[in-house]
Amino acid sequence: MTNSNPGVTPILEIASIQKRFPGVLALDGVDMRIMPGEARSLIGQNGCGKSTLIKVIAGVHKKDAGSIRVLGQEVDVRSPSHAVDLGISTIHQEVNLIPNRSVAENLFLAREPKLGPFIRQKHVVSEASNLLMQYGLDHIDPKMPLHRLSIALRQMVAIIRAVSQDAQLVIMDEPTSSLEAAEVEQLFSISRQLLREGRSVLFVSHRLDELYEVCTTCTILRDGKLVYDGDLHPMSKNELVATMVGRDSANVDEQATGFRKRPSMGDEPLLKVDNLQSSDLESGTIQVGAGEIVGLAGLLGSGRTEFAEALFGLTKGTRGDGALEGQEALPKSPTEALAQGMALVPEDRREQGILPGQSVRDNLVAAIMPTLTKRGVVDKAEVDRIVEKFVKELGIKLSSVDQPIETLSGGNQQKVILARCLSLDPKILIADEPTRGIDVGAKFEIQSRISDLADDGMAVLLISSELEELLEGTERTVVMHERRSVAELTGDSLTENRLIDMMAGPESSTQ
Amino acid sequence: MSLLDSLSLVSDGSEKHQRSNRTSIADVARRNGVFIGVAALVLLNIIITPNFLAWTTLRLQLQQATPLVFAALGMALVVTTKGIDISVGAVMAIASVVVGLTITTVGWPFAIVLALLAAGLCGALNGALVAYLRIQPIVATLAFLVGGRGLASVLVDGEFRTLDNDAFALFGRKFYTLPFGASVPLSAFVWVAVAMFIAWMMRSTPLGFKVRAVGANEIAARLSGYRTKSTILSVYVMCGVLAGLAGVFVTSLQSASDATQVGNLVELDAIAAVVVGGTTLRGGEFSASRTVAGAHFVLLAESTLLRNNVDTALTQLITGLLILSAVLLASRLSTSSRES
Repeated sequence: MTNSNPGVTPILEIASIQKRFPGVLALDGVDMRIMPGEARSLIGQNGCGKSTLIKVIAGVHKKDAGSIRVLGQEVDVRSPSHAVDLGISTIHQEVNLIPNRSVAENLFLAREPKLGPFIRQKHVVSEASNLLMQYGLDHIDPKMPLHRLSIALRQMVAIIRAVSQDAQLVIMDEPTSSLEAAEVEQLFSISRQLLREGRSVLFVSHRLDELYEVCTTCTILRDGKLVYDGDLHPMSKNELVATMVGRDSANVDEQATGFRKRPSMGDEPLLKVDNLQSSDLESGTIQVGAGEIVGLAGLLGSGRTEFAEALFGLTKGTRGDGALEGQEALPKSPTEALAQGMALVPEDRREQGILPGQSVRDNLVAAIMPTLTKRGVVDKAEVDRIVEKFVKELGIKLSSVDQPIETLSGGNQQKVILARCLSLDPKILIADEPTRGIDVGAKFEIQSRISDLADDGMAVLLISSELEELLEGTERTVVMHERRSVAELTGDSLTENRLIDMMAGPESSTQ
Repeated sequence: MSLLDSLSLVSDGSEKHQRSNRTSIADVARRNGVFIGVAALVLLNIIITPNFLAWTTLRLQLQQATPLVFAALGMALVVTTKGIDISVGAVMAIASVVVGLTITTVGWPFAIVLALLAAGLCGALNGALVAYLRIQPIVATLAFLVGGRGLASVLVDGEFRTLDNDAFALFGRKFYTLPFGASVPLSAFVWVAVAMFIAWMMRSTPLGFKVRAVGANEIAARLSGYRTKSTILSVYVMCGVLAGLAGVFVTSLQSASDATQVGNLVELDAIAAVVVGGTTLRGGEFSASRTVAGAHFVLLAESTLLRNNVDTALTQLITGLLILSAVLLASRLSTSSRES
């Protein structure tokens, strides 16, 4: 094991960390040691305590018991800025920098080199370009406003800022969840450079495949307890998942997906569009039949979400032939779409899905509630009946339907959003990344639920950036590239290689 | 106080829904702090203000609270959708002027209806700017704050009109004598009824549900099939009508219609009442009882100082500081509850 070298002081050593929140023991005696130059992965299901652990290390939460040593010194991390002073920086998915300021200004935010009261602007810019060059990002203009950069590049700016503040340990919290493959590679190459410089990286990610590329060691938490601490590479992906969920790996092998292989039964299309166009979509063609799960693949920015939005009536000024079965034209608004029997599970749960501050009950019945009235008054008994039905049907874990939605785990929030759609008994379900960022158990449950729905005759359009999900879940997948639907893969041609070829662009394939 | 207490029992649904098992003590304190604040002011008055417990003093508080309670309830509805309406005072002036212009020809009942219609129309204008033209609420209603009062003045040539209508004056001035020497103004019954109605509407009707949903997350509400623009429009209309009701009351109380003084700066007290009531400006949350209590807090703070012969200018300063401390306390409590 790389972390047992006796001669070197660990950058971070935590022992028996305990953290209690009202009603839950979030961390129960967790140990972890990170050596210089070590890349450690921290994994576990949602709610296992990994975010809490990061927050304790980064000074956001105070530990209740246990010890934290940084370079051998026992410390009490008082605040996030204290953590930075100690050499621990955290890079979040949403980068905490100022979008309207330049890259250079952001790099030196709150510690600008000054001459008297004045910021030495030129010095800031030249220092910034030195830093960028050092990490192979010399194509970024330091004077460019940060918001013009992609999310990936913003994260890299944040990392470089951390390094320039002399970070010895960089914690990356779900850094790749909104990045494309090429950007992920770029992030990894910067990470490797950090490691070569003797810095350490703590990687938190749901995407297990990626961990193998950078990390050497692994910490797995389950229910606030440490269940694995050791090298990553001898563990197979299935073993990791099995340890996370506490099951035999043989079992997981069978249950890695909730989708079942199903006979294709899409003969009569419920949804049929031909060459649909909008301001964000050049051409979209798709057919989804009753009882069929059709996939929609494509890289970020390929237009797959825009296609779904155009179908759902969210986009103004769509043109092209298309309609739901029995209708003349596509819906012009979400209200119309829902009335015509189409429901959408949106891509971004937090921004487009949940009603924050509102109860689980109100979130679940949001769509159907206007119809649950008796003489203009909401029929509370009927509301409770529907809520109870879906909580049971989808296995939503909660302590009370009155609790605010954001107190549920991501997977359970997603189930509430799915229940909101299903309460309307739609004929067509568009699910945009329905399993993104949720734990393995909930993912499995949602996937098998979608299979059930299709068995019952629903037409499902499944949008996913996970190829596995498309390969396992769909019989037919339409691929988007540069805002056009460019291919439809089915049967034997629906393979990982073909999907990747088409997503990269039809001209690059041999077709 | 008995009225206020009874009203606190009909707190609305969102409050109950959000009281989950994870709600912290700080959150409970934020939600109930305004009742403690009002109780503290009452206690202070019992000690320092001579004859505070006399019915003549209490009924005056209940009567004087009327326009602010109406305005604050309307403001709270708008705040629930993350908006704000600073034209409330100007709409009150328009309602007052409409009563003055029409009461002799159509009689007082129709004059009131016309005034409320005009006020609702003003609200619709604000709402249309916000919902359909996507103008920032504070900017959209600022235009009406300035222009609306101007319009009111133009309608009556800036003239102060005394109304000679005894029946109409009853709304503002009638008191009922109850057993044990209790005396309660007619208007207090009206604002209690209106507050209870709005609490019920927000808790039990689809409209109330939509208003909260749109405030919590407009995109999610739209994807759930709500016509979010018309929902936003409707809260501004309701806010306008409630401001109109406040304007009608003031006109009745002073038996005169007036474009320049009616409702002057009421919008600021109304915002203060909503915020002191612990409602967050982040939207999605509404409480009629806390808003009413907030209005009483603001008024009690002012009247406590005036009754104890504190100079007017100093009164304003101290009231401002009281509101600020209430708001700071509320925001501290709400942030600490979010962190834990």
